[in-house]
Amino acid sequence: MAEILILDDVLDATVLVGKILKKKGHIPHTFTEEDEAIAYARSHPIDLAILDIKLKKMSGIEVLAMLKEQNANMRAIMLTGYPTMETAREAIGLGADEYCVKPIDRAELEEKVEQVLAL
Amino acid sequence: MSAPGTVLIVDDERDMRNLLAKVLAKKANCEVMTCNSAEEALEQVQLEPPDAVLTDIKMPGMDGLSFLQHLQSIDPSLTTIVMTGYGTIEMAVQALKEGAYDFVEKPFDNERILRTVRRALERTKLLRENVQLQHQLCDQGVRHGFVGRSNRLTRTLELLHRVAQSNVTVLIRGESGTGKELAAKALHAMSPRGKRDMITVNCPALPEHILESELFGYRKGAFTGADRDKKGLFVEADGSTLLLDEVADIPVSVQTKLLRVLQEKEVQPLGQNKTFGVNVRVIASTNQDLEAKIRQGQFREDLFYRLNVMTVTMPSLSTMVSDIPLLSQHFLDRFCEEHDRGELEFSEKALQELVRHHWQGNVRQLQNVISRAVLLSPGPFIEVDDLWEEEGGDLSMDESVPCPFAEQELFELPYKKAKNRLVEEFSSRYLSEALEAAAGNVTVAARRCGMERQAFQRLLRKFHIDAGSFRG
Repeated sequence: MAEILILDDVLDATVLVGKILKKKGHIPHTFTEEDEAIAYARSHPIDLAILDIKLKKMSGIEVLAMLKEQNANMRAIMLTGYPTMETAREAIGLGADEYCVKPIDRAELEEKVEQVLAL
Repeated sequence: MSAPGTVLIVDDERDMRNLLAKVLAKKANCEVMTCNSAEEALEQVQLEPPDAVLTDIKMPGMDGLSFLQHLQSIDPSLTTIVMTGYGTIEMAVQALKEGAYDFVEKPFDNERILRTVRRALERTKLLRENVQLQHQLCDQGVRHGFVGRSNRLTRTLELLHRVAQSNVTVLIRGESGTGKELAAKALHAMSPRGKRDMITVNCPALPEHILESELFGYRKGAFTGADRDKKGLFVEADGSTLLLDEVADIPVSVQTKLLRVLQEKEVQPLGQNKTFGVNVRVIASTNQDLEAKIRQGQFREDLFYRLNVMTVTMPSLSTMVSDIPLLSQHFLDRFCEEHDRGELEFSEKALQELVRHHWQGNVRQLQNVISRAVLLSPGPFIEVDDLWEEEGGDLSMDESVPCPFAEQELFELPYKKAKNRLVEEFSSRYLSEALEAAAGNVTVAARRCGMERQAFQRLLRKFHIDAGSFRG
């Protein structure tokens, strides 16, 4: 059972991912606003963050950097519909554990989450 | 300018290899090796380790990812750049997670690849330097006899290491038993002068006029009994290091001459008009408060500044308590072998006692206590009782008991009152120390004081001492 933060600018996406993870026994916290997600992580323990890269104001990479700065032990999975070499490199460089491409099927998501949490 | 490093290019496409080799050799000035498969490259790496590897990811036979894993296990300081074609983000992510330093997409422009390779070479260099320095530090720590991992000691060793290379005069300060002479030896051994023998002068051991002639030498006939020329230790130490041990005890007259040698780098033997130039690195050590001696006029201020170019202060054992278990084990191993006592071990209590004890005599005292315990312990465990001598307690206690008569006001009291007060002070101190040493165990403390437990407890009540407060 892990505390998982989910950030995506599309509300439906966060709800969907949240539902899948909840069924797996995790506790999802879903956000569509970057600052709300960051503020939440500042005052609550987060085991894993699942971040979209294209957000409303910031990029998911920036959010990753800030979250990692707050808590270096936090795991992170990037989930993007617009994969580029550049963002992949940056994300891994900042300590992301996975870089996944949307659309992602349910089994793959579940598997990646378990893998990353087991690290 | 020497080549910035060697780059190994691994790609199954010949044109790509040649292009890259040309660019890197021409623009980055690198030495370049090429291989057409990962298997071949692995052999090459064992044979002639490169500074950076530039590898394609899709190759027949072993692919770039497995190759990367192999490289990491052979040499983690080797920096690897992975090249990928379009549409293989997943692989690139995998490569980065496996420890690739960077990846570049094909087709790439030359500037991009040059920049990446330069950074990769730089990284390898830094990593290797780091590993090397750490090794040196470790080796030297062991070689020169320093044991311990505490920050305080590590910083001191680093400082010694840095100072060793230069020729500056070093003043080593520190309490008695902290390893000042060991530090001096380490400094000398790590310095470029290390191949020659270091000359050590124990300053307080020699009377004034002998110290002078020992240090600076004399000429035949300089004084009665000088029946031949004597070279003096400064001349003897030419090209090497001279350690002035306990420099605070040098008589003021010799200090003046010493100052001259340090300033002019010349010595003038007694009865000799000529001076000789000498190339000597001076290390001085002291456990005394030189500043106080200067104020009292017993040490020349100008000499102090000459000696005090660089100060290394050896940590007292109380500032590196975390190293006590390590040191204790080190001494235990050593003395077990020296005294041929087979395998002895500390009981848990004894080890706690060693850690808790206030070591006024620092590492040397710890060493002596363990040496004695190894000799006397019936084994197989060294117990708390084996650590301290039955009578008189340990050394630090003797030293720390202040002379009670220092208090003038005692003499103003009637005899009986003064005596009672003194006895009371002594008793509570004595009992507290005994309890302290026994970690609050009344039976052990009583035995060490040569008393019955009940009698001991009576005394505790009389002087309002709570044994419980000494436990844990």
